[in-house]
Amino acid sequence: MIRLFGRHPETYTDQDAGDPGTLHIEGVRKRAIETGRTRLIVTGAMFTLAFCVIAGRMVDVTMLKGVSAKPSYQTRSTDLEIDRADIVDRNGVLLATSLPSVSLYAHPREIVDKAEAAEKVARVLPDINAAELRTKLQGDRAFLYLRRNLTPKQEYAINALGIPGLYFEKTEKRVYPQSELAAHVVGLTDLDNKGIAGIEKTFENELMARRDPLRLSIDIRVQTILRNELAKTVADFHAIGATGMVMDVTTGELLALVSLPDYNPNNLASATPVAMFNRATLGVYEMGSTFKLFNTAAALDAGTATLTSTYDVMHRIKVARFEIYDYHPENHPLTVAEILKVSSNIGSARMALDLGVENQKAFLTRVGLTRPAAVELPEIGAPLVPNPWREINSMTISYGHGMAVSPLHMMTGVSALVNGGIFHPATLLKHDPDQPIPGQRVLKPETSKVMRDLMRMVVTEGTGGKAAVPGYEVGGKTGTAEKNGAGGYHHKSLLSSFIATFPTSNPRYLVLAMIDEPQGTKESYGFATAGWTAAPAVGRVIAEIGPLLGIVPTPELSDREKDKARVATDASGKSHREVTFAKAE
Amino acid sequence: MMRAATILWAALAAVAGTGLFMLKYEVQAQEQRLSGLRKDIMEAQEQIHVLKAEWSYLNEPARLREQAERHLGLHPLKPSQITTIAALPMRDPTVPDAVSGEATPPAVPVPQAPQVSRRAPQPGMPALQTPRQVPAVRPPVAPLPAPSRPARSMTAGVTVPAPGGAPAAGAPQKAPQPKGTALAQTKSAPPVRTAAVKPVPKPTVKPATPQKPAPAPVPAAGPQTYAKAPVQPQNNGNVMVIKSPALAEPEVASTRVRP
Repeated sequence: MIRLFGRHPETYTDQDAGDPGTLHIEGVRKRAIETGRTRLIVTGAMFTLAFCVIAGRMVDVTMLKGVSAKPSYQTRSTDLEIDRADIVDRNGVLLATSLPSVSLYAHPREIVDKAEAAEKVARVLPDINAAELRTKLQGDRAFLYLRRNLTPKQEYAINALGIPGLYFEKTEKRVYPQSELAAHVVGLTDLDNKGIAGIEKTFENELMARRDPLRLSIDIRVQTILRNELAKTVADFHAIGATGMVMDVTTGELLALVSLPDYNPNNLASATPVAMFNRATLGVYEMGSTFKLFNTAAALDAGTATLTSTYDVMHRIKVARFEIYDYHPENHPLTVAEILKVSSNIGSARMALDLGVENQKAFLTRVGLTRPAAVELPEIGAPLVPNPWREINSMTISYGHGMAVSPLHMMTGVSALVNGGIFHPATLLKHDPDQPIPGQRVLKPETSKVMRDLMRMVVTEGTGGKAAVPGYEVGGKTGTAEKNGAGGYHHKSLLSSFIATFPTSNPRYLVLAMIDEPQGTKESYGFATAGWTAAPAVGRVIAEIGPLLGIVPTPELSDREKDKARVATDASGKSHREVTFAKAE
Repeated sequence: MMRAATILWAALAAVAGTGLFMLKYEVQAQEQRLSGLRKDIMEAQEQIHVLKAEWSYLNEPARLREQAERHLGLHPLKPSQITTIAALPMRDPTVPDAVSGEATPPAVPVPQAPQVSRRAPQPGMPALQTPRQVPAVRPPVAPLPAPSRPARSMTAGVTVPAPGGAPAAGAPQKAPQPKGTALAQTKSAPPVRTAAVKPVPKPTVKPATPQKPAPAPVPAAGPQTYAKAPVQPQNNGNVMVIKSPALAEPEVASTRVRP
């Protein structure tokens, strides 16, 4: 290299000295050589530079940036991709899920022989009319759904036909494994998997966004028991419908919500407007005597009455054209406790007069009866509140007429009366134990205690005797309202309801049953009132869900004696086994 | 020198090139396998998803309840069935005697425990027999055929002549009887479950008889009513605090199926 580019004057000087004539020539040659050398240097430099760049880049790629290279094109997760998340109950039982399915659609313009295609498809899918399909295909539509949710066999058969212009689309089908059991809670979706009722509608966007299942507060076992008992009551008393709920009074979670008649969400055709009507949350009713609980609590809490205050119930109250009277008039003044026990309208009205309109209004607002209930359902009924709220309204509201609320209002309101005085908004989502429970004090704890004792008394000695369950201290209140229709109140169409809490010493759950237009039967001696229809149903529900929810029964003395005798004689192994099986279920 | 280095470098380059080439193809193959596995996982997950839905459908509480009531005789738990340990009465020593009066209590319960696992009788039997029976000849004879029977059901024909030949020994005589009962049982009761129950009566009969020196009562009981054999352990089971559900359930099921 050095020799190539270096100057070598001695090689030329010898020749130059000998022949001056060649000087010019030498000069020209030398210049050419110089030019060549210069070019070589430039080219060499370029190459060196290029190699340096390449070397540098190699170091860069292999050592500096090599680590961050993409491993492969398959880095996506292997989790199953579902468009719409599942809905499960509080124990993880599936209530709604999306199953993969295939839909068949056509681009009619790509089909060569439309008549033949229609005939072939109709042969594979018997419920498609060939002639109808042909006219559809021959129309000028560019896109046509032929059939949704094909079975795998049908898909194979269609594929085997080999008709160009027919395509399959991978879709999802919303499936409700529990059928009608929780229909009014879960709701349903339309053909395009859009929620159109219930939780499916409320959480439409969230269900599409989330991956893990949405966990509801519903307990499917409690739901089953409640639905069975309500359906039995509806059948026994030839009622037109019923609704019921079970609520955890410490959190406001709804463990069951049933509205009959219901529908099968797997079958859109069964979802008629009547069946889809949610009596528990959308329907507002004049609840009748169960409202006396609020009236009593308000009077006791405000101090306008004490447990020993007495009211005259012997004389009917006449206000304008209204007359307030009792079904079973008493001929002596009643105390507050007795008024609730025998469910006296007159007494309640007089208590309301003492309480005052403003106090009553404020109290009912506090327990949430004057605004739409807050629950995660789109079907929410706004209460019908009198406006203006006069004294006569106040008197009728005291025993549950003149103001219509949904059964859910009753649940949230009464739960605040019995749980120590904290109002928890109802919820259908399982409560996260780490989160604080939203609540608001609306009642003094002492008043709540008194209310529990009064409700217990209604069951032990009052109108709710048929709801008694040996072992569980059930406390409740009956309510039989006459339905208000065209031409005033109907004496024959009743709304019988019973709301109960258990165990009254430390309430955990609140159960409501409301029967719409029950007819008296021979077994009930012709009565269709709450004490004969709703109360026994609530009693049966409590007897079944109590052990299920882990409420330890408190046997009364006589019961304990009976138990002792039974355990001694009976095979002890049997009951043990049944306990374990019930748990396993 | 120069040439050797060139050859060395060329060889190294060739080796590196080949290695890289093979590595690349290996990686490709692995990635293909990976994508195949991923696809399988996806398919399996899809199937699991569908099966979950079916599981949930089949576990519908109303259906489970109906099935449990029909096939298992179970009913919803009543509040009166729940009690605390403190509320239980103290054990009355006279009660168990009254129920299981026919045999001495210790002998009967012990063989019952091994019944649950079919092979278990083998260790249990010698333990029982050796202390009670003085003659050394009998214990070896009795335990030997015994283990083979419960384990391989009733078909073992070889064992029959061996015990049958000994007229004096009480154990051999009993051995054929259970077989007869077992065969009769299979004829009358078709379900396979009875096979599982069959080993149960055999051990119970055997230990019971060695205690009594006279072999006569046992053969009489066997042929007359084989049904007594399964009943006996059941009575004892009620006396026992620990009760195996496997004992009672097949019987409940079979009686329910017949009508």
